[in-house]
Amino acid sequence: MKARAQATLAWRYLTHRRFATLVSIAAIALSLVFIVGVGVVNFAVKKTAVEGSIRYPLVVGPAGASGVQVILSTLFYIDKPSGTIDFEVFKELEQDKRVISAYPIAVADSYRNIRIIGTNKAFLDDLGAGASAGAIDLSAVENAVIGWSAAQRSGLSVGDTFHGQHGMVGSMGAHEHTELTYRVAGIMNPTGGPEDMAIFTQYESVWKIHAHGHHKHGAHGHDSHATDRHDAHDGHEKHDGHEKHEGQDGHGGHEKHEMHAAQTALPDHDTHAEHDTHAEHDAHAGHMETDAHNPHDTPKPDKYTLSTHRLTAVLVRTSNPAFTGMLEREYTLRDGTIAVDTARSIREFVNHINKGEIFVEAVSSGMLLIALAMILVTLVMSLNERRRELALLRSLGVGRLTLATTVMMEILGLTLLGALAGLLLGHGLAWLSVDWIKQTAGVDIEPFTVTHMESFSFFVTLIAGQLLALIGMILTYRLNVVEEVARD
Amino acid sequence: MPGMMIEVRGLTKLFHDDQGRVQRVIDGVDWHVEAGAAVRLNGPSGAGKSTFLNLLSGLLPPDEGQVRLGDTQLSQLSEARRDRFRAAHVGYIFQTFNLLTPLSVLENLVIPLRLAGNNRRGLDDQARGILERFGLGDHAHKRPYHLSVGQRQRVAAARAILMQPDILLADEPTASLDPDSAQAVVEALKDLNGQGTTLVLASHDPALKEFATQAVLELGRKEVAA
Repeated sequence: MKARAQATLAWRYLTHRRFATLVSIAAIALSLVFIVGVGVVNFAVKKTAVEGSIRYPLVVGPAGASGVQVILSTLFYIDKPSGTIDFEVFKELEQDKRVISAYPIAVADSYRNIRIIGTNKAFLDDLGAGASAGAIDLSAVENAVIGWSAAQRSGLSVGDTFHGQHGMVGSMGAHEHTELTYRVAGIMNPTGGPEDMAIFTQYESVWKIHAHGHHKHGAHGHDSHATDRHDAHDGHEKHDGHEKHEGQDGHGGHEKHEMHAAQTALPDHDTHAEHDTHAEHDAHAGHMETDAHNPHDTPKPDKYTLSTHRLTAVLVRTSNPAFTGMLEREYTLRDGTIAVDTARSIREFVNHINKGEIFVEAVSSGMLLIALAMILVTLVMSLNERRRELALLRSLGVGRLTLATTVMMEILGLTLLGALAGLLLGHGLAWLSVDWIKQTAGVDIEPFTVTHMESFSFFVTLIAGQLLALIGMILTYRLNVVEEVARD
Repeated sequence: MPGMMIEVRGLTKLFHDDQGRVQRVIDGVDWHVEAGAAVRLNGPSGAGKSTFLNLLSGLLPPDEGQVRLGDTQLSQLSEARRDRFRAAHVGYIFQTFNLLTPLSVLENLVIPLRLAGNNRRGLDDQARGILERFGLGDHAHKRPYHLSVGQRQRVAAARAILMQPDILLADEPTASLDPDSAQAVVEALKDLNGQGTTLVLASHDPALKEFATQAVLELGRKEVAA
């Protein structure tokens, strides 16, 4: 009964000083919200990254790119690809006996900021999602198969048609591709992976669009490429390996349409610049330079452009880990490619994340200390304010220890409420951010995941609260309140 | 409530003022009060009436002398035991500031007693009954700042009755009350005294002067009138 009376009195004091209580709770909660939020996202990122590395132990991408960049753009579909590789690389890997399977990835365009990934049906089959509507069908060049979240976000359903947009919304050079109208052939089941927020098409369809050059450069007023030139170019589309003949005069009109690819800073494509003498590309190159020299333009130039017989990367699964190492060396030593050991890059990536976590933890700890200091100051002020009330209770026979433990309960209650509010708020915000994180980071978070860091921080908060409560208890115990009632 | 005898011998309390000078606020007082009596402390403001009540309750330890309540010598008890003794036997009503602001009227009656270790069953119901008797039934769930000064003092008296103390110390319990409220408090005190509680009042209220005449202690003059 006494403990219940103590709890009631402690609660009444907390609710009586509503504003101070709420501020204290909010301060503690805020320090935990960051830890919960960062923990949930990082956990999901690590999980997705590790799953990706297990599935595709090797990724062959363009030379000059970092391993993490290649992984982010090909496994997560975030970050811009930094260049392209020859389609022949895929063909070679596909036929390599050390390789179980190889999948082409051609990242170029987007629809409503959802990445359009050029690939083949084998890759979609390998994802194993299955169709929730329509079919996993990339047999026609205009066919598109949409990830679950992408379908939810875009509102596209089976049979709908749409046009891709070059680059992402807001990036410089973004424009609509009207050369090819995609038709939704199927919608995949949710997988929880980055593919949920992607649109998949044939890589040939990506080539087709970019082989046609760029129409409707709305952002630039740059309708530069004539239709008759496309016809001429179409005739060159089946020139397998034509990229190897860079700079040869005989490729005339075909090569000039790959000028954008030449601007991806790929070393092996530097020779494309030689084709800048063509009138059409001179115009376009001049346009890009103009943009680059305008410091007031907020969007960054989207220089990356895919062209015929080029891919962003090839995902590779080997039959033996030793082969992964061999292929990594071979393709890294080659001109124009880099081979990324996914597991190693993921480790690097996770290390970066861990550093971020430590930073967030440090900031949150600082916030927690400030919150606890604030509670202590409020407590001291509050004890002074209630000296007469404590004296009254003493005169009615309530012992010092009872009063001290009541104050201790009050502080413990405050820190417990703050910590619980932090957890609830953190997980609640994570839950509300599921879609947004999926769209922006390509990661499917589990909002109610409890990380080690969260558990640790929660208990640290409670222990810190306990220490503070002990201080409060000692202060109260030592308080000589009798003089309050001894005034005559 | 059988009431409790009060025996004071050579009671002295010294206070130090801001300049470090020693003041003998209570100076060698001897006093005896029979169990169940209603007695009064007289003296001008600053004569030490409140200090004397605090010495009687054991809240303040004396510098010299002793206080015996019933068979218990207060000076021989530790602070914790004095607290427990007070919780079990001594009630207190102050001139002002008798209530805890975060608690409702009903909680102001019950929670201090629970905190003091009173585990009596049905305390809530008894408290409600007493509040009804004092005309405060409708205010049971109000906070003290919603009550008038008179109502607050009646709540303090109600708590004293609920506590059923052997000794009730009341420091100007009717000061600054309107006549009706003062009358209600006086009636409550009479009622309590009628049940056997020993009353020690520090008051200038004529109504209480008439009632508490069995032993009057004049403070500030070191004289005892019986």
